[in-house]
Amino acid sequence: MTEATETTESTETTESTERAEATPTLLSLEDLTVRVPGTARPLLDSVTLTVAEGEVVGLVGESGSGKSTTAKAALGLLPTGASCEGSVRVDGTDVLRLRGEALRTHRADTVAMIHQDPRATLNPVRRIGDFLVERGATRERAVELLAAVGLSDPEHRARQRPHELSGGMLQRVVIAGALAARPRLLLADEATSALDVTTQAEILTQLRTAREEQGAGLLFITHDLHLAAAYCDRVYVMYAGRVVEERTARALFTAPAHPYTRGLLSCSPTLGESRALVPIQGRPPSLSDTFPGCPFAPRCGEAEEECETWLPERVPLEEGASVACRVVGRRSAGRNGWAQPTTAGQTKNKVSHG
Amino acid sequence: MTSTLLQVESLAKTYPLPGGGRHTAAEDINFTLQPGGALGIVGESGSGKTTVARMLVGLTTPDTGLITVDGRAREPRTPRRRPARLTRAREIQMVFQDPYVSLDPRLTADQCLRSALRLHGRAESLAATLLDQVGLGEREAGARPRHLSGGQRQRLAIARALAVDPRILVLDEAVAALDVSIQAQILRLLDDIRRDTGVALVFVSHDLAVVQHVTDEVLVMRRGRTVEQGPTRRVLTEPSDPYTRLLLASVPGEGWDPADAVAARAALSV
Ligand SMILES: Nc1ncnc2c1ncn2[C@@H]1O[C@H](COP(=O)(O)OP(=O)(O)OP(=O)(O)O)[C@@H](O)[C@H]1O
Ligand code: SF4
Ligand SMILES: [Mg+2]
Repeated sequence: MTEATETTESTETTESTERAEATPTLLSLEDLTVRVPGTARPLLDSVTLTVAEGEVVGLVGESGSGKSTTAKAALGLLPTGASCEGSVRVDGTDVLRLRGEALRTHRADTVAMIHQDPRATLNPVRRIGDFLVERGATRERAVELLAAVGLSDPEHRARQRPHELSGGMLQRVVIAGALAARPRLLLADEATSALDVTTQAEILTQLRTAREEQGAGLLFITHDLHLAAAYCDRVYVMYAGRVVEERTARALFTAPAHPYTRGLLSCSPTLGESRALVPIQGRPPSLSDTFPGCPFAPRCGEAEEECETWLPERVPLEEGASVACRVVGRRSAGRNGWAQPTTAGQTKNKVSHG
Repeated sequence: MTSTLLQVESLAKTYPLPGGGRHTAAEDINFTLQPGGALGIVGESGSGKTTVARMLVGLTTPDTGLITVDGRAREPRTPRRRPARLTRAREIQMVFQDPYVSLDPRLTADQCLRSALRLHGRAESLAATLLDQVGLGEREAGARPRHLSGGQRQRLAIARALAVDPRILVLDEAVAALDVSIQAQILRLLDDIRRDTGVALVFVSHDLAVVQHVTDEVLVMRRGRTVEQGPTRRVLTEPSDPYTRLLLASVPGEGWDPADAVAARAALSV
């Protein structure tokens, strides 16, 4: 027993030293591709993404782009009948290989998910306090948690049942529940999208404080680019099951690179700006649409003929940032004198590079 | 100054509460709308926006108040007689957040428009123009609602409302559920239609950024009451009411800090 543990530990140490990052990586998806039978293309296609300890990472994209599928993969949850390639690691553990008790512990203690609809998480007949205790809180801490997420009179709330609370209050309870087990990683999937903006702002403020105190990483999913860029440290933009851009939140606002990201920004109404909206033509792709090359090509104003057969690959931008667009990649490589990408896994596409 | 198209005076609606007493869903709502104008109604959920929209089209009967279109008072209830009913429908049409519920599942997009045109004594051949106007192609024309995407259904709902050739279009959270790329297409469409047909819009939304883009005038509602109204630009840049300030502070954008909204809320309750 002891030996086995030691072996595991030593492997992990080597791995993380190799990575040699300032903050250790908490969640790491590497080239994750997820297919289900009966669809023309994968739900997720070569998704690579990381969340470091204590980091807030945004995942944005339109409906069906694969945001929820990505978050669920971190829980070790794939669609029924799915086959997958690539890896999902949380704290070094290969999540997709976890079974039985280890998987249960992973989902109960290491990672916590906050969904859009609190009623899907809360048992309608259980008291609020019991919900938190089930998740590892003591009675005392349950009350503290309820106060931390901004519920007035937390002792009383703990004795109430879900139907006695409004949607905004219930979502606060769900967040308190997610924090109860002191998870390393929080996954928030459109957690505040159904709420009024004023409630959203309050809940996000409380989530930020509580999360910082526990030092948990957060993967923050939203379709609202402005929200992601304002609330997160880094942001991934998804399109048709792929990551098309990875940037710091600041760079996303000031220098969006991918034509889709720029398109999203110029079609999102912005308070205080009176410029005309420029819609992206066409519609987001469905799972029956396939693409021989760049999936955005049919809607992209900058598409060239070669884009239709160019297999997307990540092209590095500034430190830690990347974009999956051949035109932008070529432009920035020319400007900064960057070499063509040489990372393993990208070489296979070289041929079509032209 | 153009003549007033829509005038709303002292509109109010209350609902009985289970334990006795009454809940004020809307109280003392007043506004006017010029032909081709656009008025936004903003506020949080439960603030009374939808109640006002429903009273405008006649889906909810106001307790008190007067709605006049082109100087003629609208009857509080939908008239029995068909001609009167059709005239009334031509004054104000409504588009809902979920177009699914308002579209007949058995009719293709084209049939849906033709039946609305026929009912209102307009040429059925206009269906093609309408489909084109809202950017629906040949494939969509032959498709039933369940085979259309959310954005396409919303366009169809708008086309059907326009088939009636209304003076006023009331849109209740009509773009709220759409992806931004589709939302932008619909907002552009509304702009074009307004310019081309002179239809006036009452645009109900919780989204201040969208309202800023669509409307010239805005009315901010809270707990059934108007807390502030005026030109959209002024209200959204120099709000005079603390509640409007809270709403504005809650909108995410570059440099936004959600804690600012918490501070604005605190300022509101003192
Ligand atoms: N269990 C499943 N079986 C088959 N297809 C699925 C399954 N779950 C999701 N999908 C499909 O995978 C694609 C990505 O879905 P996903 O839910 O990850 O998107 P999303 O970005 O979260 O979208 P939204 O913004 O609408 O929540 C969609 O086309 C969806 O219909
Ligand atoms: S690769 Fe070509 S089609 Fe794809 S986003 Fe870039 S320019 Fe557009
Ligand atoms: Mg989702």
